[in-house]
Amino acid sequence: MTVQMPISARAFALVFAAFCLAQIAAAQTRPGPANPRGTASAQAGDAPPSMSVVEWLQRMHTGARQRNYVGTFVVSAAGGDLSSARIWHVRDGDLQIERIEALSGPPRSTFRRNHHVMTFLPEAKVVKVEKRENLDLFPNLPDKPDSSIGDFYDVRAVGKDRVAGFDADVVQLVPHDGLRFGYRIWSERRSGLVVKLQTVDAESRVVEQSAFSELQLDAPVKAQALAQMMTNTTGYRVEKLELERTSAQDEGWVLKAPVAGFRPRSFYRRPAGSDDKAGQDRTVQWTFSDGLASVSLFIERYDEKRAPRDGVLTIGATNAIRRRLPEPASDWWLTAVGEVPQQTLNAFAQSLSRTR
Amino acid sequence: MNQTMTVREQVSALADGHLHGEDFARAIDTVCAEEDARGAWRAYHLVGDILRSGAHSPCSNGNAFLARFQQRLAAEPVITAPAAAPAGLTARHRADAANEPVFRWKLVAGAASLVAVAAISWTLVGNGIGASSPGAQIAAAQQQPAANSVLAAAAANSQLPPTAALTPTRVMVGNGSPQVMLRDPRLDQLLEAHQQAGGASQMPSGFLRNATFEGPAR
Repeated sequence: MTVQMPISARAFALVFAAFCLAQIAAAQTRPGPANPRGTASAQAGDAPPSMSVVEWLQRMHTGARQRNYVGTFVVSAAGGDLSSARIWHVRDGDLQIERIEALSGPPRSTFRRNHHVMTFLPEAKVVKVEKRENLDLFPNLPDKPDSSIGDFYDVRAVGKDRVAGFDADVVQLVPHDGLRFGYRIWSERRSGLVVKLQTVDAESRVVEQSAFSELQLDAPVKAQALAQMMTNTTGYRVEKLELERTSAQDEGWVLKAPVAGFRPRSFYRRPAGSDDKAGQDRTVQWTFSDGLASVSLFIERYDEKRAPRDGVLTIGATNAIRRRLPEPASDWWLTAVGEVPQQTLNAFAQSLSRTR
Repeated sequence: MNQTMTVREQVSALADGHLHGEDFARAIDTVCAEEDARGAWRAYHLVGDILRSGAHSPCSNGNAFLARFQQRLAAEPVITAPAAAPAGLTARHRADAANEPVFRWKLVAGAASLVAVAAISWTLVGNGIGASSPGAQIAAAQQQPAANSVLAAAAANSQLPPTAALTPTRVMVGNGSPQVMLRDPRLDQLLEAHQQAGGASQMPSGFLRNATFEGPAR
């Protein structure tokens, strides 16, 4: 008896200590005030919480930003093509560092440090350096949702599922019209991180899907180590992409009728292609977005020598059309690219006209 | 005496590189034949070395060295053949290194994989058009062979292997006449530019998708 008492006391103390530690650990992993939805989803039980489109997207973006993770990411297109990459993501204060090591196709590694992106191409010994915009959901107003997304997509909670070993809420974004694709999104239950995404066309066919096949959430990733790998460009030729901002008005282009939901985002004049000898002095890029999908219109001088043929191209969810513009702008040709159905690109092409 | 002087003068001139033709041959013969002349040859070189360098030169017995050298040379009669062989090898190595097309073939392989994607997408797009608009179904059926013939023609004209040169997609533009859009470098640039401007990045996993997906970013 006298021996048993201390053991049970010790056992109790041990359990108590373990409990305390668990509490501390839970407190540490719980997202900060920036993620108010974290607790909401935990309380909701089996059914995904009912939130608006914008709230869902905010939750997903926050999940992607705030957690450290390591995983294998797979993208497959309707044609059966499969690409995969190893992903490292680390958040260090305001800093987001990401490393994406392609596992299929030509070797390449992409690093992202907030908006700075570097792509290392070891075969060509070239590193492409650029500053990307529009990487966030609401690039300019991080806390003020762009409510127009809700005008063009409905959200439906589909249920729950398991992806890469994690419980996930499944929601579907249903477009209001045929000008955009729908999406089925698997969002990790606790963090909101998107672990699987399907792009769905009007006939409910999956045109492209991406998912983590394996994922370690809150993995120990050293921000310092990733940042260092990013700065090591020895032996590589650095190609820096500089874009010149301009405006549609200055360049003499206008959309006769806006394409529903797509707002102009930016207008660039692109530098002459380095490996193109032909006169491409004035390629301009006009980008549009409806908040989820984006479209780029590339307008170039029509070049008889290259005689580009009109045509379309489909790669997964990305569509492209190329055509010579009708009179009176027939000495221009347009290449429209976007993660939208073909008809959306056609609508842009028909609406585009020259103001001078 | 006079004769010896002449020989020594000849050796001196030989050492200075002033002898040519007949005189040169005679001087060489003399040096090879006479021990005295060979001694003078070595002495003049030593004097020359010291005068030029200003430092003390170690004396060495040239004959002994030469004898040892000839002995070793005789002991390795195959030396000339291997000496030729490595030269051949290095030449072949150089040929390998300069063989740039090997790298190009890798690119070709990459392009070929893209062809597979585009080719399948092509049929899918074709089906999609047929299914979406019943009116176009017949047209699509008629255009399929036409598109194929365009492909075949393009393939025949192509310099590169057909698989690498063509990444065809199904086309319905304007009047509905079938056309092929080739996956040319310019188009790849534009696809990449679209991503750079944030294409597909608004989805939370859009950036990962772009960096992973092999399609545009080759």
